[in-house]
Amino acid sequence: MIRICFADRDNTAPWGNTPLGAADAWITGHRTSNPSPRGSLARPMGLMQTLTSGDVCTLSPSTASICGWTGATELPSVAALTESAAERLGQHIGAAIIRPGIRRVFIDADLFPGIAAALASGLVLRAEPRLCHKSRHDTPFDDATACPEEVVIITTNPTRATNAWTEREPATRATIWARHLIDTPANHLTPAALQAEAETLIPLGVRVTTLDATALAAQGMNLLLSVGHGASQPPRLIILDWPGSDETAAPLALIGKGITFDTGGISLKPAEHMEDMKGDMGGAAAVLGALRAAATRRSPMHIVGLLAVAENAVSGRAARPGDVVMACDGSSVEIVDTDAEGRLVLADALAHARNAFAPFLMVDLATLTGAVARTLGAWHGGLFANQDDAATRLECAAQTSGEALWRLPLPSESSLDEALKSDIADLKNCAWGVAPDALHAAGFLSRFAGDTPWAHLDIAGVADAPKDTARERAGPRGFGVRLLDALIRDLETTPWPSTSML
Amino acid sequence: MKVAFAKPGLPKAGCLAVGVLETGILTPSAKEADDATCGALTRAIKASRFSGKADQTLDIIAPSGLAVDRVILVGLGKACDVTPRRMESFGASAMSAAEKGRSTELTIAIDVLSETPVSSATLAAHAALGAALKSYRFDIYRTKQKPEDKPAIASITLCLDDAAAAKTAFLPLSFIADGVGLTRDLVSEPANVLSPSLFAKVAKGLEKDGVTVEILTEKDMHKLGMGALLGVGQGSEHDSHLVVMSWQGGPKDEAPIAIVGKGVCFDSGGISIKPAAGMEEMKTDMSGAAVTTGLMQILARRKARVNVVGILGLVENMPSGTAQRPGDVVTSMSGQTIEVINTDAEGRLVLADALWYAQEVFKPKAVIDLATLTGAIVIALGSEHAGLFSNDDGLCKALTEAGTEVGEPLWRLPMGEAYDEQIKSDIADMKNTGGREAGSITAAQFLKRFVKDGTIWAHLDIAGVSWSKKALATAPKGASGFGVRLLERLIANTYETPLHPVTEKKTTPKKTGK
Repeated sequence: MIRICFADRDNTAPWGNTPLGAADAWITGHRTSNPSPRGSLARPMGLMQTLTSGDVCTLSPSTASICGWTGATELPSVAALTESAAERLGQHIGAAIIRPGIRRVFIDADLFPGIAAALASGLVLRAEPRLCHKSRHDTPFDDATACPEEVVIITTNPTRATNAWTEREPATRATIWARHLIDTPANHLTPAALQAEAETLIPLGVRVTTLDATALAAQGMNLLLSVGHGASQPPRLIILDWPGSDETAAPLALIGKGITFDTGGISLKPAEHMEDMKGDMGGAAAVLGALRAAATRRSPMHIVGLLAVAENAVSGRAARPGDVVMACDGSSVEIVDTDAEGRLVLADALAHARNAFAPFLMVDLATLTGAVARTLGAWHGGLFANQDDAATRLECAAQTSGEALWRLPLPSESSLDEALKSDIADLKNCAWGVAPDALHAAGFLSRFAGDTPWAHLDIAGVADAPKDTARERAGPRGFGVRLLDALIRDLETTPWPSTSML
Repeated sequence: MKVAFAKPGLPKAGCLAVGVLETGILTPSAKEADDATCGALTRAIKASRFSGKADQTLDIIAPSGLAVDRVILVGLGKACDVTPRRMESFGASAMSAAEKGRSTELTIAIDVLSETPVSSATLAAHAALGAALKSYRFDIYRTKQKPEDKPAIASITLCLDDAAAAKTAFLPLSFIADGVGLTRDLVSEPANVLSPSLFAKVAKGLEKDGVTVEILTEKDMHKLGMGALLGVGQGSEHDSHLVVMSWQGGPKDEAPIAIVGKGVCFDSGGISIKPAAGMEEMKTDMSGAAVTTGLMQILARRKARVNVVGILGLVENMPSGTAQRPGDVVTSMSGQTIEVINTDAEGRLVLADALWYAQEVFKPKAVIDLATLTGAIVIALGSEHAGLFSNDDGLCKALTEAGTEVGEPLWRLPMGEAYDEQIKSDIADMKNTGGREAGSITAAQFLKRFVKDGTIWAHLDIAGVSWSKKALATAPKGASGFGVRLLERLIANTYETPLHPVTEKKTTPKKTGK
């Protein structure tokens, strides 16, 4: 984990007087051609030349640019940086400093405190390495896990910067945690292991209850039971309750799809890239991350997280296509495609959330459909809502956090009835053929959300960053943690229902 | 089919359609019929599951007390929801029910409902429109139709007090019905008949309505450098054409609105051939061009006070020894080069040149293109909404509102640099595919590269809505004509010069553009 410190130019305490060495990187806001950095960081040009070439990034005062191995990138001038631009700049720096051998990084640009914290956030998000299970490293410095130990950011006010970072850090670190959960292969992150991860929130003050198979049966949550029936570990509903300042207040309910591995079940997926399906609990990871962040910063909001956890495995005990199962709200579902299992586990979770907690707003996140990736690709998550207010709040949070969403329509009642018409049950779980499956899945869920204000985020397309760029590392994004954090903060400031125009 | 308006009165023959509000409340006309039949309507409602919900129908065959063959009860829903759109469905439902029998006449009774702010003349005109749109048939290739399968209704009469006002209100709507009919005809015509050349000829026929029509040949297009469009059609036996239709109904020097339609008369996919199953539907791959043509006819016939150019890129995409190959690099009229990765992504190639031509020649106020462009849009939005892409929020808003008004809804999808990256080519300025993800968006990004800076542009992907496997509210199975009414309404709402009483007689009316 990268350690972030803030210091001002006159106080060199965090690192003492250790001179810059080969294991360090110096990112400066001063032109190298016009040398005279002030204070005790003044280094003769000669010493700079002893640094391995490419270890110096220069942000020039007038046009901030990062030169060197990431290529020249023009960014707004340091003085004009906004928080979101600073976050992006932090990402660029993050990409530049993850070279084997760099231990400490100094960012020497006299940043304002809020800007410094934003930069730190972007840097951590980009630089933190992926989860690594390698048993040995082929070279002493392995690219995949290279990351600095410490980043020191020069700021005009270290105390304020540290406070600003304290505000940002929980969501940032929680995003990294979510990424690791998603990256953890399914033989390690089993339903039981995911439960154990959830239970690490207990010391933070989150109450964690798990409904096991027996409890699920008692509650009539047969859809969740059916999906998890084929696996060696039973399914479960993990309920996290963060009381906030008033645990009797109607909570915000966050529901996450937690399929620890999705083979597709009897409607088996093709083999190629099935390993990606260890990430089918990305929705649950987002909810966990959001709860961790909220609890760490002691959010005043009462938040309930529900993780519908199961492994969708193939076996003699797996659900068969055609099975008719009763959801916990009493409706019957004909499972025509066992690979449309996410909507089944979410349905039970949504209905249970409504019954047990009477939330004022429900938000579910799920890596739900291939169709949403065919629609919006890797750059916008799909947003559905049964009320415009809910949609607006989520869109606002998306803007604030930079985790993009795009609203899609819920199907009309009649077209949904037709698409999911079952001959023998209340509805089927999906339609065959060339169908707008993201819309159908959302429509299916809307039946279980009822008239409780509800938003559904289909994050199947955005869960992974497709490639290494200056701004993001290829691999799981931990999408949704920062979005939910922004939503929670917004609801803290402007309680539901919102009356203000955005 | 004849459409007439008359004073209220129970008909002596044919079918009678009357409205019933939710929870079975009879409208005055329904009450009149009920009285004449000694309560047959009330009894029928009681005995059935008909409740007056919108678009429910209940037929009462040959009730005693009336000389009609059939009384059709049509649900209107709530009185406050009786809008022109609801009346279109009302007329359409009445028509569908009437066509079940052998009657040749249909009388539709229009009532004044106090909760409805719209005049009964408008309601009647829209009911007539709905019936006319629903009565559309494409039977010209049937040679052995049994008498019982042939449509019998030859005339509809709408009865209301203000029959004269309704007749006046219906006139512009009749042009719409005809325009939609033309569009549906073009879409329904099989590709062995509707070649690019024949399509061009049909478009040329609009000259009698006052539209100026120019047809560019392949030679003309070569001269202009339209390598993208010509590449698509080069494998076909049929020549490609660019049709340029111009309606000048607005101020002489006012920049026109440009409507650009994809006219792939048959899309086999080319060398990147499509799978066989369902390929017959690809005769409809010229729906964008068909919509443009139907629209131009309407604007001309109703003498719209606006300048509009309609541009059709007409080609046939076939595999052959002369067809373009995957990997070919073509140069578009704009000078940009395109690597053709997939010859089945041909619509964007046609539009690239057509869009550029429209902007170069006409310097339009706004450009709107329509195309059955991507299969991905069907996966994205299904068959309820067409996809909307644009570089201008104002145009999007106007289009979306117009769509809601006429029942041709749009849903906007995002664009952005990250999507544009997906069409980067290793050897040319761009490639014509963007990978499996966000297919409709990357297609729109491709088109955007052919929109000049500062030009207001919108793209409608109508692949999911132009052809329906089942009957719709105001359309039978098959070609829907989606887009004609939308654009007509957009133009009327946003671009058409409103009637100016004082200046009407002047030769250069005052510009009051919105």
